[in-house]
Amino acid sequence: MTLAPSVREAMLAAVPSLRAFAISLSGNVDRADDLVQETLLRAMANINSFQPGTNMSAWLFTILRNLFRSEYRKRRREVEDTDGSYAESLKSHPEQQSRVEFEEFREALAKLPPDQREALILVGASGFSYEEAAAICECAVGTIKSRVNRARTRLADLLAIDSADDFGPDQPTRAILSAGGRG
Amino acid sequence: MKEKKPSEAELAGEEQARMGSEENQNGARRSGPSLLRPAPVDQNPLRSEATMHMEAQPRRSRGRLNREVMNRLGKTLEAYYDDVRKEGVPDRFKLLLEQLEERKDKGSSG
Repeated sequence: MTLAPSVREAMLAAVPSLRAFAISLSGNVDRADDLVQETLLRAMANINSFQPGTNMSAWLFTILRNLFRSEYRKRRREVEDTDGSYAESLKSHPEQQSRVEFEEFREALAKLPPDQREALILVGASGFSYEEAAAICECAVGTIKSRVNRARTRLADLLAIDSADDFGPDQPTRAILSAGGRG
Repeated sequence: MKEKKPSEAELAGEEQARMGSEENQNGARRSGPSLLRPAPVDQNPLRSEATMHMEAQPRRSRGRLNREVMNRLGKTLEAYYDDVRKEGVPDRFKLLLEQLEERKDKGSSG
């Protein structure tokens, strides 16, 4: 018997977000796609343990996250891959500016401790609640919250190191900031 | 000495004081307002990687972060993430699922 179409659809529907999560975690498209592939393999092998009606996306994220963690432990001594393979693989952007921004952002993200990075991405980008993120990371909700906070603070710090004016110089924000600064 | 973590309120107070005083002092020599940090004053902008990895930096410009900074950061994170998400499902994963299903077919029904 093949997968129920709904399960299959749910799995495929989760792939784009799963890839984004994997790339955000690893900073490398090839590694990320391998992680996604391994995740799908595991998921299919254990599809009976998935309860229909529950959150497929969260289930897959949990698998991917665990795979990444065990891989990370193995590779801990290797240098993080920040050679720009992500940037190279990016499709062309409508705005040149966002490309620079993303590259800086990717580098900053790579400097966060994995705990903080995954918490920030799950909550700040993947759209999970603190509770869901806590379940995925197998920790307390409060822990997720503090990791997210620390990640944000750290990122802001890291990104301000390079000329902050280069980082997304959108005029309205600057206007607000400059007005606020003088006030 | 700086390593002792000040309370949230202390930080917020420091932050406000800094935003008032340093922004004015540095307004003249800075070409524009810093987007992510109100006033990076004596922080060396060319800090080495090693320094950046250190957790216990002087927490000068941290503390309560500017709401604008957080909004901006959040939007960048979302944009960064969506950039990948928009690529959709690469063919290799569609094929993979098909293959896995076929394999499962043979395995379970045979």
